[in-house]
Amino acid sequence: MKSNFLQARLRERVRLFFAKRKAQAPAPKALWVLLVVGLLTSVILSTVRGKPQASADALGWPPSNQGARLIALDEPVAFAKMLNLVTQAHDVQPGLSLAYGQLNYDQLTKWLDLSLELDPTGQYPLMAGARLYTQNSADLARQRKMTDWVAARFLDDPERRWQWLAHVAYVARVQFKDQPLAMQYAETLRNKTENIPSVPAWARQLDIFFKIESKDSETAKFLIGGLLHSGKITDPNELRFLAHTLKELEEGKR
Amino acid sequence: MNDRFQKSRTAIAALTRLTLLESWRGRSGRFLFIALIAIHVIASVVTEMAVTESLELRLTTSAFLYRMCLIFSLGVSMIASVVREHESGFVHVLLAHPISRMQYVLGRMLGYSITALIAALSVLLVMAVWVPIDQWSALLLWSISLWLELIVTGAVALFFALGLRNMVGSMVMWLAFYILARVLDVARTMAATPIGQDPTSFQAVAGQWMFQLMGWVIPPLGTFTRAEWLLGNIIPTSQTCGILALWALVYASICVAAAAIDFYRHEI
Repeated sequence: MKSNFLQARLRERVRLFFAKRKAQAPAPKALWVLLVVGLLTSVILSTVRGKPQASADALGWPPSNQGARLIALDEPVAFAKMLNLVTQAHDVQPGLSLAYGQLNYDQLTKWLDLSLELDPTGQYPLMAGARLYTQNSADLARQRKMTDWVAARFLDDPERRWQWLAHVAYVARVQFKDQPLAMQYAETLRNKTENIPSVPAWARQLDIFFKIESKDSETAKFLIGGLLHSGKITDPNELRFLAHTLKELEEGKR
Repeated sequence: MNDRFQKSRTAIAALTRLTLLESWRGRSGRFLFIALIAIHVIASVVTEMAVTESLELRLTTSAFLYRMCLIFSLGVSMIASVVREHESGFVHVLLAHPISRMQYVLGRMLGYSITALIAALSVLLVMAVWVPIDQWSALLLWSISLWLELIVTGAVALFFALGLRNMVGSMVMWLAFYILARVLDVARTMAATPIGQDPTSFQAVAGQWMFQLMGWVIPPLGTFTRAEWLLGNIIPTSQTCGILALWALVYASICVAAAAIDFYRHEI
């Protein structure tokens, strides 16, 4: 009923709009020709100019926190959201000639830092850091710089940012094939989230599974045993799963 | 004024003169003078705080502020005068004379273009004091670009003011156009390579086509009147300058034609 009423109102508005534009005097044909020729010329000029390309050489250093607030008329969160897009538009062009290897990661991390400072609850910069800027089009030193940046920013707010540290732990393990680094990230993740119930168990126990996968069963057994006796695991399924894993380790099945 | 208007040689010239007179009597000259001084003072204060690159800071700050100030003040004055003419009924008086609607639109646009030229020249003269002599060609290019940008934004303001004949609506639409034209290149680049989206999905393809379509018909104002030109580091190629200049004029013509067509169809 209400939608019918709204449709009728809308139809009436559209009818009125065109009724008011009934030709008072016919527009000269030359005007229509000018309009069409102008639009076609505009299309040609756009085609001749070509598609806009992202540039790798102009990221530069970001403004300070206070400077950014000044620019944004003290609207930091909205500005941070825009900043994410601007940073992304600058360099997230995997299909183009802009490899991440061309970017200055020192400057890039400063931009991401600024976004996080303006909007501490935002996940976008961490997602970009963990997933985009660790891609293979950047060299290992740049990728490593970015995973370290994510790990450092995780410490500021483990409850909200644990998933990005977990992600870079996997990046270190699978992509870098750097077992000690992966373990370091995973241990940091466990140490800082042990008392945070909202962090899922798999993330808190990541280092245990890394140990198991790397055949370091003694340490894995020690960690699982410690976890079971700590009383921090209350979920019966999780307890059962960990106990089963510990048993398998003791029997040498894993 | 009416006598002078009737004695004018042609209707377009008379309307052009009327627009210029209106600008002058609307205290545009005084406003321009105050704006030139105010921005000069602001740039000087900002420059005083700089530890290094003070000239660069002065030039880019002044360029940015002059650009914004002129675009907004002239655009708003165009909308305000056209809407006021309709609200006060003065447009009826004008059209009661042997003046076609096309002549009205052309006269308005020409008058506005001359006002914009005077404003751009004033800024050129003030900036020439600070820009080193070997960068004067860049300053000239920047000023021409500013004038062309003012012409484009003025033509768009005329189109919306004549079409909507409503102050708030016209301002909002004009502002939305300007913001879109300024960020168009960035938006097109982002739409071309969507992140976190399947590039073959309907939304991604629709987004690409929408921005492609906009890219065909809206000039990328973000590439006009760049402050960094004045530093002599990044000067666009002559081909790019030619394309942008031609595009600005073509786009202004499109807006004038569209405004006139809409005005012919509009009930007064």
